[in-house]
Amino acid sequence: MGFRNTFELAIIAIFVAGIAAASPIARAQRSAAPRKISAPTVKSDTVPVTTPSKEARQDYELGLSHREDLLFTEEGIDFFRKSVKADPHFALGHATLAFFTTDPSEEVRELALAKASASHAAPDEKLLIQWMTGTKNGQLVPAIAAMNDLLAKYPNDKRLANMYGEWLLGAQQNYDLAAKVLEKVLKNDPDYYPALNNLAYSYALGGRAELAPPLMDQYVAALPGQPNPQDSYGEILRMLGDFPDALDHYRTALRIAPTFFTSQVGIASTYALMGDEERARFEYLKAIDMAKERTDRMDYRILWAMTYFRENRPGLARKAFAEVAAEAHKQNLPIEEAECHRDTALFNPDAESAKNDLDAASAVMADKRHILVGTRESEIAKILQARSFIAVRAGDVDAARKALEGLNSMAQTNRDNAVQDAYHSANGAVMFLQGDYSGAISELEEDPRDPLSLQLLADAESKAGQTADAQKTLKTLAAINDETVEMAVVVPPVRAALKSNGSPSAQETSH
Amino acid sequence: MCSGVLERHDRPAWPSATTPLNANFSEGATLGWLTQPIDCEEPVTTRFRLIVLSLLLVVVCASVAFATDFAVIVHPSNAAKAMSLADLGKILREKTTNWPNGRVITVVIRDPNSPAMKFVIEKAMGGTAEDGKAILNEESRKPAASIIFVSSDEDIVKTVEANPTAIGIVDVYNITSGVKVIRIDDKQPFDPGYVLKGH
Repeated sequence: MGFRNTFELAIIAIFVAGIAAASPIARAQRSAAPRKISAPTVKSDTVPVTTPSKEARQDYELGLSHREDLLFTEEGIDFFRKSVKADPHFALGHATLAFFTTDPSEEVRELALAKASASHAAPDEKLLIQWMTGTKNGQLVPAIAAMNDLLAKYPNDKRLANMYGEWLLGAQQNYDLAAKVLEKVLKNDPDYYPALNNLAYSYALGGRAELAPPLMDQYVAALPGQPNPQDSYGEILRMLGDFPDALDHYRTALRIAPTFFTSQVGIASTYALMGDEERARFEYLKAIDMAKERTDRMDYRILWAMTYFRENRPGLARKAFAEVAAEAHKQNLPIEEAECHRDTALFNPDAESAKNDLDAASAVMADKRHILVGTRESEIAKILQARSFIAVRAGDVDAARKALEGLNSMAQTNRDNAVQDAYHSANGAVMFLQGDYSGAISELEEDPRDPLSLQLLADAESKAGQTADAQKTLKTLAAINDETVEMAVVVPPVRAALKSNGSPSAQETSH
Repeated sequence: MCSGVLERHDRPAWPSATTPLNANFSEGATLGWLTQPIDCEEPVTTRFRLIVLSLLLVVVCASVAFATDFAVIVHPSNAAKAMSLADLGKILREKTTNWPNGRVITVVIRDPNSPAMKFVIEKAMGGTAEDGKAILNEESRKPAASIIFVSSDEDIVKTVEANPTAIGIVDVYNITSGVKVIRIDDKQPFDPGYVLKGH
């Protein structure tokens, strides 16, 4: 990858300085010196970063540059790892690694280390740690208060505000507030490109898509030598169903940075959505080779296996998923392992056999491996939602009730979106099976983005005689273009039925 | 890569639509009519295509709604930690005018006519939003300054931060550590079943 702009050169220069600082001699000198918490090197308008280690500080900054500014996510996380290795008492480093990692074991470990090291941090730095850890362990009220305190104290810390906007957008799906936060950043610095990207997505997902293209143009123009602007453009176009142009943008991203693996996944998933599953598999294999994080590699293997279901080859698909599940088990990735069984169940046309698949998924989650409670419960909620969806297919009200019982007890204590949405979906499923279509509609409308719930909603509306609403919901479903299993299970039959002017129901969505 | 936060496990599916992107598409079809060459320079073509696509996306996303939790806030020195929704309603209706220590309660909220307040009024005061607005706007309340209307949540928070007898209601995303969030019916914002979860 060539050096295409001065920003990259600056990054490389910092990197080289970091390497020099990481030399064995420098490391030996540092370890020999008594630990001294120097006054943080504070840029007056940014949150303090407290570590006596120059190397830790440099790696932390490089981590933020890669993960947040340029969206080289793996590289960014690696720098955070190096940072806490250089200073094991670097509380903000641990919190940041916990906040960004996709590895559940690492998340648990780093949250504990952040808490244990917090006394080494400066007061305002502690607020940022409180926000990062609070968003992970369910302490959202104090976390939000801490972030708002920081935003008031550091109104010019663009990276801080962008990180908050990114969290509101991705984790909270609070698109309006995300846009408000990011608009404020861009008002002070109209060329702050990380915020341009996030604001474009806030608009696109929040129903103001007409505002997104100018931002994407600006984002591409601001970083002509970077892959993520092209990648983002590709993703937005793919969401809209413009697959050829999406492919063009993804390919441009890879020409700029051949290792930018998310664009490679983008190409693969675009082919999968286009129905060219053989090509999709070929492209997924390339992405698996490119990804370094084991969770990423396993996620792409799941997408690879799913292509067999997409092209209606269930025997091969089950075999592929079984192999991926075994590998996930071997690598101690229980979420991915359970997902393999859950995905297999959703594609399974036989309700009894599908229950066995889901039992296998539940068994993985019952195994007390080291993952955060919230992460475990999110996957359990998805398994229970799948149980209720399959129960509707089979007309099995008892099975639906049993799934609802599990979700009901979880929903009393866990406010995670995945748990709450799954609860409403399962409650709607039970009401549907009991013939309470009005109640089912009300519940299913609480989960308006999940294809499984939308399918049940369309069924309930149809049964309630709300034909126009049912058609509208089906058209909503048909417009979805993403790579999730729920989309792959539900949307193709809906599209086929709409094409033939039919109205598919949940009972007809098993492949 | 998107925004960097929409990982595969938590990426939201595409929101609801009121119209299909192409009423006659089949599985895996593309929006071919949008990619036809147009007799003008490429940048214009691209821009035209984006405008059309974005307009379609507006339709796709048109019915997206975001649910938020409203937080009931007091000054940190206030001993109150929790109250029932009924008690909150009594405060808003001026049936309860004093804190247990005898000090007069000052209610700080947004203009009752603002959309954000409609849900709060209906939920906490019962009855219709119009009835609630009428009670909140009663002339007799103003001389005692028992109720203050401000134009933003930020102003509510600032007012409550500065007033030990104040109670305010804000979108939970606007709280700071300068205020205390009190539990309503034994739950706080983000708790499952929290009663002031609005749309």
